[in-house]
Amino acid sequence: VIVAPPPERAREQSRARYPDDEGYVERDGVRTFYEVYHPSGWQAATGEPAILFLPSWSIVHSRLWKGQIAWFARRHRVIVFDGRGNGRSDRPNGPAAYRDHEFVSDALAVLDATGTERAAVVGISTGTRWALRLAAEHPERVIAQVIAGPSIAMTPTLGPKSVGATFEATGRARLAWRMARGMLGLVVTHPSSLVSRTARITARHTNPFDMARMFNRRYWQEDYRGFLEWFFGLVFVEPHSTKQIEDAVGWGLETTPDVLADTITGDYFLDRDTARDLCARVSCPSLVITGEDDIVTPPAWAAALAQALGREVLSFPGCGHSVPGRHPVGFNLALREFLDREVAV
Amino acid sequence: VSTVARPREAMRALYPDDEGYVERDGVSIFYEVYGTGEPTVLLLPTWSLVHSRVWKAQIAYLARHFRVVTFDGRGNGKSDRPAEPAAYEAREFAHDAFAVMDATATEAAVSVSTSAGTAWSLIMAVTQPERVLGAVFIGPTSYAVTEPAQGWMRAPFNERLDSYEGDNRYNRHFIREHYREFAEFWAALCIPEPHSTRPLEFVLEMAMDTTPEVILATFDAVRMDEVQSAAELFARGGQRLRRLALQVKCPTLVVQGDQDHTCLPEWGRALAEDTGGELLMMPGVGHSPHGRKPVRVNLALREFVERVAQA
Repeated sequence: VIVAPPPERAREQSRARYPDDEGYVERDGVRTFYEVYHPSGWQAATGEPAILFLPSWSIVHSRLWKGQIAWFARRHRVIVFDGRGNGRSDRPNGPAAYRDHEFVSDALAVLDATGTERAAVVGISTGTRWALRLAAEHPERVIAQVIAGPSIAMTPTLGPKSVGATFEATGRARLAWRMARGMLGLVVTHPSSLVSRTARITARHTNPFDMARMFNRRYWQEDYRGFLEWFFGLVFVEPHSTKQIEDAVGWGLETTPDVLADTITGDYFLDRDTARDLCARVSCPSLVITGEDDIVTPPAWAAALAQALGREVLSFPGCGHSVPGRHPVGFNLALREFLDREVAV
Repeated sequence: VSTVARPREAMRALYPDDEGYVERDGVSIFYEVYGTGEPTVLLLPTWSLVHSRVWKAQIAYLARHFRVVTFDGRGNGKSDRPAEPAAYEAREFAHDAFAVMDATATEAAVSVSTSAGTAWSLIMAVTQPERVLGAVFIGPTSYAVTEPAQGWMRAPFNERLDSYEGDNRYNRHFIREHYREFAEFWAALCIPEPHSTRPLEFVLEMAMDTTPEVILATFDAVRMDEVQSAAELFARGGQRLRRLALQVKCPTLVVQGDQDHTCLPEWGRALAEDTGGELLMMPGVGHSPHGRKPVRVNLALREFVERVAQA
């Protein structure tokens, strides 16, 4: 494994809380940076259950949870880590280093290093795959799982991430052809997906050709920032999201297009049958959260995943892909309510 | 007296425990009361371009610790919009404030004002000092020091121009004919911080809750028709405010954004000095510290009010 050093980090903004403990775990020469926040609350908080906020796609890092950390750390022991490929963690080369197994093993290593026997595990977007695998494959470590905006394609949808076929394509004509073929397939097999709420909102923010053009290795190499701005414009479809977009673009710039390409050329998508199988093995309490206007991971995916888990989906009206990032108060209250209700300490 | 259809209000963090109207000379003034603590904090109106929701980020927090009274200044919100300029003179706002205090059985209060509200607050503190326990001025209006004047302050206010661009939008005719654009211009001047799309939208919503006729009446109330530009008016009005400020006996606090292009940092500094008060200078902040940096301002307000109450 060749490990590239993290690029110069942008000067960080002030935080509501600073970690009480931080460190690195190392696996196969790849270092993963973690932070621990001890409960600082008023009423002799025990810190239990500990909450592990998982990384998401390496386009961002652990600061994605900045709207959660300080509040939950009043009562709980909170653990976050930068997923390999961004933040203060290493950026190994090659897709193999970014397979699900690696992130799941990193999470377990962080739990070990922080002396955390069990934790409530919270994942968003790409991270929901790792939450699901942890809950299904390591039930002894997971007290409860929370899944927000699952990036698990449970239903066929035309979305910014459903363009894997075009990622390596070069040339406008070829891109357009691949995209058109994909759309045609969707028209034939799942016509309703083209007139869904998700499709309508998507049409307001982007178009199929842009998706193919933007989700493309060549484009990333030429205009990485342009891609980030476009992508996070789709993540934060809510009005007045300039700050969230600026933050996220800044995190995206902390890694490189090559690293990011490696993260989506491995087993980037969890197929539906594997996801269902994993859901069937989950025994801990689960909460699935979606934003009604999420066009990155459509609410239909969350609903199908919740169904597979035998749970209701909690849907936030007027919210896009990042409920915790854009609506932290609503998200935090829902998460706390879930933990209070379902987790006996 | 005209009324305007009001836009649907956004959800609030806290709703008033009591509300009502007081009437002075046929003009109804709408007020709200929150909480039951001690002492009372009176959040004053400012220019009638906006209304009492400018305090929306203060009310819920302050009401946990104190009793909060606020009211819509005449000309906006749920208060009446009298037509004649004389109805918008500073003393009218000050007397509205006393009338609201009477109606809410508020013997004395800590007054908090912003921008144009500086004038009403100073009149209150000087004319009925026993009712003002302390006075907070946030981004206080034209005060004594007139230099360096901003571009908009030198714009020909009463002159009809061929076109209105940049600072020249600070113009009577532009306001009458392009009211919405004027409100957008003014909001952008007041709130220069990045990521302010919602505050800007909100100022516009409040501005559209009144009419250009009301806004022009507020200008005529300060005799804007007799001067060339705001700079000239401020030179005059600023000295008048200073004479009042020098008579203030209660504790004062001035909160000032160092990027305030509407009410200059020099004004805030001079007012703090003249009243022997504290100055909280906020770096990178424009004309709405309370709207844009509510946490910092709320902590300062609470600390000030508690200190005044103990004295």
